[in-house]
Amino acid sequence: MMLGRELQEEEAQTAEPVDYSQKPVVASFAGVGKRGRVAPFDLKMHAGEVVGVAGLLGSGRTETAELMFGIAQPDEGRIEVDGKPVSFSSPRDAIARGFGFCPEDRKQDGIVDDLSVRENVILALQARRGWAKPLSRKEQEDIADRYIAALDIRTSDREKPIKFLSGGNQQKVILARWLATDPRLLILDEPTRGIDVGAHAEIIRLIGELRERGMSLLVISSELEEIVAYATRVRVLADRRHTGELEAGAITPDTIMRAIAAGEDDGSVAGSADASKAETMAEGAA
Amino acid sequence: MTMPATLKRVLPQLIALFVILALNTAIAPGFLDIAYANGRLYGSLIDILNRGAPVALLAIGMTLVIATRGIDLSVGAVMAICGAVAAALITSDHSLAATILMTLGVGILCGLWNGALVAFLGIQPIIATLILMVAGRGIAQLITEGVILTFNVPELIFVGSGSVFGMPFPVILWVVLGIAATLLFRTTALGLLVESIGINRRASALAGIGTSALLLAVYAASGLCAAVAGIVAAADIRGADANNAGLWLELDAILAVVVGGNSLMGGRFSIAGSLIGAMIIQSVNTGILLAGFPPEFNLVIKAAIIVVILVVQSPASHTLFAFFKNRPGRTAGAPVPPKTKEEGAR
Repeated sequence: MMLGRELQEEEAQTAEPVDYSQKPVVASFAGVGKRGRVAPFDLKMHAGEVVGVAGLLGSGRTETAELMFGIAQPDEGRIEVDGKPVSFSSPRDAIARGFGFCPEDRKQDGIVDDLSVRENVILALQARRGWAKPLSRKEQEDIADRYIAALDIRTSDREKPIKFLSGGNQQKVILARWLATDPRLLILDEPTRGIDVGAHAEIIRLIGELRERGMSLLVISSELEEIVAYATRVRVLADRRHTGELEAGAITPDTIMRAIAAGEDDGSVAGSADASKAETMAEGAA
Repeated sequence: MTMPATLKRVLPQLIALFVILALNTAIAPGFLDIAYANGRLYGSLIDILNRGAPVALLAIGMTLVIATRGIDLSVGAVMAICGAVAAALITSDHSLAATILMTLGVGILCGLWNGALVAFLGIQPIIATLILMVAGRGIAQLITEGVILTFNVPELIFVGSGSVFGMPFPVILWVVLGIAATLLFRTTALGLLVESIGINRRASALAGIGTSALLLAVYAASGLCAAVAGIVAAADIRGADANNAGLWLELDAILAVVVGGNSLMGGRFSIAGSLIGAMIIQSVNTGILLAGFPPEFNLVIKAAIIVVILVVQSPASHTLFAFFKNRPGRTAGAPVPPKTKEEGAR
């Protein structure tokens, strides 16, 4: 297991650059933006790629994810899934299209703390099936056991309330919740924040495995080394705008850092211009 | 949910109920007697089942609302509205079926109003339902035009005082509705989804649960239960009393849910527990009357029960309970504080 994990990381770093733009597009976002949250951006998510999202805190990373997953609704732009235009009025709609989302704030937005590990794992799948088509107890147990084994979730019992698990194991349960829905696009917001070293490495390994299985992943992280380990391209954000993108081969902590800094410099000019524009508009509205 | 698990869940409530029934028997020697006359069972026990029917009916809906971490203060007023609607319809020569269907519809509408305030406007449930609690009696008075609207239709009166197989009809109603609600929520995924919303609404929405639709449904269910209770109460007195029908019953219903072992913090719920809770409350009421105390004692004793239950349910005592429960070598069942304390000290 340990050996496999190290190999995996090395592989990711030395892998031949693959032209992901030739792979099928899972979802495309064209000019999607929301005033005051994140400026309009273009993003095509291909099967089998991991798009890392880097930027400082408050640069619009989470806001980007929220627009993509239907938590917030864009006021402009087009979203297409499988080439068909869609609009998400809630996460439910996004989930119906095969999206999944691990939120940054695990305690507030992720776990349902009094429910058992089993119930937390099957929650999204059950919600998508609808209340009238319950998973049988046996099916629930099988799914929970499968992911407890596959993700090495440390719990004495699948019936244990999730609140008694460690942060890393809770995060794996949330991942299992989405994997159980067999998503095509998985958005992870700071998946390794506040978890122990072992679980950290396992989640990075898992991201690589999911990519190889053809899933499309968008991973937001503040840890640049981590992004370098799994990303096939990196989207750089600054000041609530998508300011740049780094292709495979050009991804190192240093280049990401410089891209962020460059974006922040541009942004300070463009941002203040935006702000004054917004103010004038607000006055006009008043 | 397996049968032993359900039984284990409501065991404390059953014990409490039997303790109170035993006390009642000690106070009034003929308490357990049941007689059969005129095609109907008579006795204090049957009386408890029958008199407790409105609160039991309300408690079914209230359990679901409280499971979503909400509360429905309007059920008493909705009872008054629905009693008034039923009386107004039946006295204006509508058929029994039309009267009952429309009355149930009105109850559901009232619930949807509450649910919409909670689900779409994000108003806190206690305030959202307070609106209808206050306005409801006014609406009921408008419907009855300020008088007690009496009716004399045997079929409608049957709902309040008829009997089937010797059992008073209201008892049949709450038992059947309780079983139906339990089956609906436990054989589908509704129970899990409702519990999930009650524990963490935001995480539930992010997991794809249609939280707004479920909240609407749960408040509508509470309105429906209030409508049934309203029909029973009106049929019982053969008239709609806008001022007094269901007065303060929302508090009894909440109490029944809490006594039934359901947390006001939402989450895990048991309809069976709430129904036993309703019977505990009615047993206390009946017991105090049988003992010949003035009815004022009823309120004081009820208040004492609330205090005891809330103390037992408080997070502080939970921590204590969990501490004793996790001691190795404990025997199943309730902890025995003095003994376990000594063990803890060693």
